[in-house]
Amino acid sequence: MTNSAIIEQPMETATELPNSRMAIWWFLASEVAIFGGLIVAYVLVRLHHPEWGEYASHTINAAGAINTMVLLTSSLAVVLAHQAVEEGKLEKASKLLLTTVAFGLVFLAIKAYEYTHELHAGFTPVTNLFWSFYYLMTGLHGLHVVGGMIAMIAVSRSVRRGEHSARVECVGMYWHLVDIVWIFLFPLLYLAS
Amino acid sequence: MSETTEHRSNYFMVFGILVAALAISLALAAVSTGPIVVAAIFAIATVKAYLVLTHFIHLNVEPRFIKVLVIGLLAVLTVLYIGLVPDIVWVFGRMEGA
Repeated sequence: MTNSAIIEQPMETATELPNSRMAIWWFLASEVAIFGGLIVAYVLVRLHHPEWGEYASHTINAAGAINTMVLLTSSLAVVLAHQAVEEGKLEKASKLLLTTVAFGLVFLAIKAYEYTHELHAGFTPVTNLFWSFYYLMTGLHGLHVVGGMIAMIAVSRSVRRGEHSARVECVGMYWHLVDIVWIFLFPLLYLAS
Repeated sequence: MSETTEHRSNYFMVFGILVAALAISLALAAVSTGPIVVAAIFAIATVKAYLVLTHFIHLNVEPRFIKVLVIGLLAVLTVLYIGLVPDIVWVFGRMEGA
């Protein structure tokens, strides 16, 4: 048995997973239910509303594409942070987490630009059902980005102090889910016009 | 974490595939917005989500219990989708102003 196996042994549970990872999986499952329900409802209603394609054409494809790229890159940064923790490079992991936060800020700035543009064009959350869905889904997703950034700053600080490095994986898993949600929101709200 | 260390993916290669898939989606959307192209775009999105799930979240090295959890969740969403068709598509979808 290796030293690492001896160290990790107390964390193992009947589910073969450390409690923290088990907990985050259940949390992610609840998130999938929230966003999945929204997406399912959106798709079902849209099937009977071909005119929503016209509404979707008013969203800014370029901004959505850039934001997709930003989130994909941030996912790479956070998975590299996890890798750095595994290699014992806690300082590097902390910096990569803060890099991810910076990408989150870029994402939110672009989203704010989009909202401003759309609101000025007269597309508000009460304009019609498409825009209600648009603001609800992207707004809820944006809140998750903010939550992830706050968690990542906290984890980055603790990792820098050499504490709770296992939390990097948990916060990373959450961030990847936020990325996956956007992967579906982008074609739904932007490309399928 | 030892499991993920042993089965670590080439994260840069996965990232490259994700970016290429995004580029293909954008190119398809620029060419057409017909139903086949839209279906292809969503198929690509599904592949992207699968890659993130397996290589970044490391589902590929998780115990079977977690895989069952994920598959079960997606099955429930599918049942939700099918179960809501009569209400939303057949009734609500025909309402004026809906």
